[in-house]
Amino acid sequence: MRTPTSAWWRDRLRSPAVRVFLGGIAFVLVGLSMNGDGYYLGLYTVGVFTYILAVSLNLLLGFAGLFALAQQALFGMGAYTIVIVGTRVGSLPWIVCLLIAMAVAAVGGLLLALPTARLRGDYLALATLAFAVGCQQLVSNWISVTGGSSGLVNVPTARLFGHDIEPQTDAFLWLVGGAAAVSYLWSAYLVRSRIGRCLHALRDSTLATESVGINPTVIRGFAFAVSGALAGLGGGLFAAYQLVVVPTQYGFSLLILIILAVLIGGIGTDGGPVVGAVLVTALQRFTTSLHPATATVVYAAILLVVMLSFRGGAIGLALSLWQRVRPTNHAPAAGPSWVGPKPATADLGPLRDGPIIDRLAMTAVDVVFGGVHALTGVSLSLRRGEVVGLIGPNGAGKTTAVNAMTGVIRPAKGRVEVGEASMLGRRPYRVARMGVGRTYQHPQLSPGLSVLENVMLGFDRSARATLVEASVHSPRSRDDERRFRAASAELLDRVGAQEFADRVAGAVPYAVQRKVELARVLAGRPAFVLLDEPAAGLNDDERHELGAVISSIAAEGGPGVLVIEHNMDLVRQVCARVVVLVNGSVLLSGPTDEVLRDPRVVEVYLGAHAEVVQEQAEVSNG
Amino acid sequence: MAVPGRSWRAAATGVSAVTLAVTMTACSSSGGSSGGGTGDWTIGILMPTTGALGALGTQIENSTKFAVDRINASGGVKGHKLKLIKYDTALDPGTAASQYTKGVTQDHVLAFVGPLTSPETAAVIPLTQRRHVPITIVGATDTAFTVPPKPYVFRISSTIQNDAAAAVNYAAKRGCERPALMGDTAVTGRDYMAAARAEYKKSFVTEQPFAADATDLSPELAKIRAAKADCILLGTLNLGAVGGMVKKMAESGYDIPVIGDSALTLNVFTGAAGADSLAKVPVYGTSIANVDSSAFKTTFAPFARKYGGLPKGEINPAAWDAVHVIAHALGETSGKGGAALEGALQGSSGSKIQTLTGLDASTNGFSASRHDWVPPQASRLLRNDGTNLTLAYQASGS
Amino acid sequence: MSSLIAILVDALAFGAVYALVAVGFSIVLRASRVAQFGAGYVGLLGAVLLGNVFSALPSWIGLVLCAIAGAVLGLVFYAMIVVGRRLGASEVQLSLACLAAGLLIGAIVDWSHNGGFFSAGPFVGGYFTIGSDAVLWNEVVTAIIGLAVLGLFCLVVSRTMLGKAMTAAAKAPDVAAVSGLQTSRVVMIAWVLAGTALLLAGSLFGALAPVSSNSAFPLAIKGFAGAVVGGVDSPGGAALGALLLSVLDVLFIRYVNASYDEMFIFGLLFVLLAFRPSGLRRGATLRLA
Repeated sequence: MRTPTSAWWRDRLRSPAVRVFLGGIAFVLVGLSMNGDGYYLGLYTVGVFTYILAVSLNLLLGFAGLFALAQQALFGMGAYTIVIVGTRVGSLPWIVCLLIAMAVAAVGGLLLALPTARLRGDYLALATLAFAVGCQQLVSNWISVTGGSSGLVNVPTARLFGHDIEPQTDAFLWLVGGAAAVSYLWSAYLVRSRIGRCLHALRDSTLATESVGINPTVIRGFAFAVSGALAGLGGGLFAAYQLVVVPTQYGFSLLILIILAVLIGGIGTDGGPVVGAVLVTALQRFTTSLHPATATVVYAAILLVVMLSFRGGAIGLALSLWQRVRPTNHAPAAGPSWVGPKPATADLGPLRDGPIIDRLAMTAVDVVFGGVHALTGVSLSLRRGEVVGLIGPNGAGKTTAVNAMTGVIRPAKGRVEVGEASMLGRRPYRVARMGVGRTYQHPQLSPGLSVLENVMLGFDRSARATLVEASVHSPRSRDDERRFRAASAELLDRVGAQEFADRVAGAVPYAVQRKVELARVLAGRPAFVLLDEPAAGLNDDERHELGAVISSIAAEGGPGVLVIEHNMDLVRQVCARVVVLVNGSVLLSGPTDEVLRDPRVVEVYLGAHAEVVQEQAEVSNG
Repeated sequence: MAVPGRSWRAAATGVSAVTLAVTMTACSSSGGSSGGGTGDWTIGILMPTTGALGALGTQIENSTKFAVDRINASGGVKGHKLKLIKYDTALDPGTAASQYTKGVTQDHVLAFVGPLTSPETAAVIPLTQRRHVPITIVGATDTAFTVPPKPYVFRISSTIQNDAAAAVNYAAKRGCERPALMGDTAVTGRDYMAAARAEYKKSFVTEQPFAADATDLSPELAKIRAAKADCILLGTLNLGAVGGMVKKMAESGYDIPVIGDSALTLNVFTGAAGADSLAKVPVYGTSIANVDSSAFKTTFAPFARKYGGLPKGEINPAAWDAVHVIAHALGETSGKGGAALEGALQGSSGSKIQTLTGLDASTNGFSASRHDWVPPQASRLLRNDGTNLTLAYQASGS
Repeated sequence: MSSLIAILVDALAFGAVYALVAVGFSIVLRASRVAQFGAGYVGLLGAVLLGNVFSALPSWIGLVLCAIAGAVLGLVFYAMIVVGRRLGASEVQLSLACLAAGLLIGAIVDWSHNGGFFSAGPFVGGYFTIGSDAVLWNEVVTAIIGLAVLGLFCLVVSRTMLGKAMTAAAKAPDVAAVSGLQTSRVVMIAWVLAGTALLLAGSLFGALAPVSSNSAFPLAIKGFAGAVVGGVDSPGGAALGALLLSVLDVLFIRYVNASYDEMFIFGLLFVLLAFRPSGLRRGATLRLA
């Protein structure tokens, strides 16, 4: 077992502040060892630029899992802006020009994000590539502003506190080092904040995360904006370093270099960009004496090998070696996966301000896929506090109905309303925010986050700190995190999964995953909860406990619950009312006992019901 | 997330990390290397010997080497041999700047032959003001680099103004009544078109600017054809697009003369257009080489013998002159660089130095107010017929 | 009006090239979910082969040899993908691996040409005039060849058993495997076909304009754009999209502004991706996750 002291050190070392402090010392030491030699200072400075760019791309590619290929364009935006603003607007201090450059590049990032936040990987890559190519043409042709392909040559020198900072000097190196520290800190805090959590979850499943009420466009847009700002920071400084801005330096070959740096170092890690920048700079140094074609062969070969096999990069490799040397114990605790539910005393507070929504309804809904009617004229309603069952044979359209109610599918005809408001055409996250929560047939947790973090996602929209505050670890955002933690722990307690709170969600038992998903939905204090086959894969005891939990949720002013189920025992246990869906239409609906005794329903379920009876007989005999 | 590792990966990372650390420390401690053996004076070549203009850069590099070898063979400069170090800029301004600094700080270069293109030159010029190591531009035609003259920045090549003027006057001499004007949207094209307009004073039948990275000039060609032009004046470095255009002209029987800048004399352009097209369509490019001088003729043969691997194996006269100018100036300062060298360079004149460019030696020279080696009248037009360059027109001789 | 014919020939010739790129890209994307980012460089190799290596042979033999070379190269890429999959690489990584492999090819081409230009030569000489426009027979012939090859590909994909097998394997690999379809063999054939399409695209491109290693990227990106416009998931749609884009591009250059055509095309692409990622075809309204 680890001693407390080493664990304490480990925690300290994880803090970005400590890392930047240690990194800063190393950085200064290496810088001083250059002895003022212009050539080596130059190489080192360029290495730091590579680092800043790698950090900015790592944020998107590594942490957010976004295949964005326009970093070089954002870098270029920063470079061009600082020069254009500096030469055209007379007396602006250089630092202000730099900030404007960052802002422009951030807007560029935002522009990239807004249409693409929902796109699947390869589409995003193409969209960002197209953006970059379009920018290149704009720059090459807008000669009056950008100087066209000859670029801009009267670049203002960096100037801080009344002193000019010349390139290839110590002073410039410290300036760029400072920028690198800022880049690291902002990126590291962002990733460790709720934004990072949302990005991770969005990466695992955009749809599932949306149904917890998280708006992918806002979260990803913010990540793109910060990434753009960092690239713009690098670009502005690079312009002051090169003293000339030409389009060829912000093109495709730079993108390859940055991608290489991010991937070879270790994607999605803090140290990856450092290692990557060092390796790429060393590579550049060694290849200057080679024919560019040979140099390209070297780069391409390395990229190829890294792509095919080195998934975690150098850092991943180091970590896996460390794992071999000092394996940590991640085995889940032995024992029953269900601990009995706590009494339903934890009051989650009033659901929301404003009028209480008391009814969720879909009316005469048709859903059509490629000419085939998945649902025809389906009407279904749910009131607060009641538990309704939705049953029917496989393929009847039950999940489709829930999808239609949560904005995942747009009905071809009919109405879907929460209270008085129509939900037709609303995005899933908006529907979730209107008070409709759901679970899925297979638990859609984010496997890489811990159980507690998964539940904290459900609280995301009640954060008081803004995104910007969260990205810099402000006191208000830290307060949010504390509140979320406490409330999530309480919810886990409520569903009986509290002992798994710190385990990685992908490693906990299936039944526990279902509980956690439920807790996550409840975190949003929904007015309605739609559960898709919550009992699948549970044994009798677990199912009974689940039933108790469901009943306790709906009791006393709680949300209305819709349960899609095949297991009739559970349906009988919790549902007051049942709707039967067959071949996309409602066959029958009414009180549970009546419906389940109806001969038409028995006929539809003859096979399934007989099996259940058989099973029960075997259990009682065996 | 951890990835199951294999031992060779571990080894690879370990080895590269160690190599890197060792290299970086080794290099920083070796920063005191001397510039060569006792008495050697170091000159640097700052050229893109690789990349799109690699053939041209190599040609210049070979010409420089050839000149240095000649000088060393006849005893060097005041008993001191010249040492030549090559720095490849890969056509990237950042690399050019970095290599310049490397030459100055690591290898103690006293003067450079190069850079070649305008962006590289623009990136290096600010450094020259700080480091005080002179450059002799061989190729970049952007007038602003030497007009007004900047300390430590010299040029031995034509300017785009002179090229355009020569083209306009030659067109007139050939009897072109309906010239069309083309230029790309980069500095080269824009300046060329502006200079041509200023020289021509009348209107061209049509003006067709095109993108600096265009690949196909058919639309522009179609418009020129529609305007019934009888010759085309052209300023661009986009050799691929022009080569394609000349090809199309040859294939469609549209064989009016194309009169351009120095880019049209390059081997790269000849490759893009193809020798067949150039035989059909008369194409002219500018050059400052004094191809008829006896000096040129006597150097051409041995150079072609030694470096004949190049398609046309012709010596680059600007590079030759650059070496001789620098060598002469170093002789005056006894190997001192910096301000002393700057002063000596400003006192250089063609009559003291073996020169292959310009009209005759007496009109070539640097001074405090002129950092361009050749006078404006030295511009010539050479016909590129795919196999040879022949003199078609000389600015002063008209 | 007469110049419209010249424009159309231009558009169809280049359009066929971009459409072949689009088809190659689309076939592979459907079969493996991998983006063949090395497409432009495969095309570059096609131009080199037809223009330099096979230059002594009659053009039609050269083209056939190029098709075979493309098939072989497709196989090589497929092998790389298989190795990568076995090592656990994700689709993003494999797409970048394709890019890396493409860069390698580009570097080899660069080496042998020192960055200069080369051409795959015109197929035929001569021209005819329409009004004041001259139309080269070469462009007409290239357009015909290109469209013929394109048609052949689309026919193979949509009509033959092989093509339908590819569609099935792409849409529901599990079901396909259970129905006795050897998914891996079908994927391999997809890569082989794609390799052929991409290499031939480059060969034809080289016959239209001088090519250098810098041409790889513009060639590929217009093909990709076309694929997205027409619907990346369907090779036929991708081809049509690329043809449409080429026509729009040429019209834009001629009648609006020659300098900003790429901005126009990619602006269009960007907008399309923002609002209709599945392309211009009517599709399901399920949201992409």
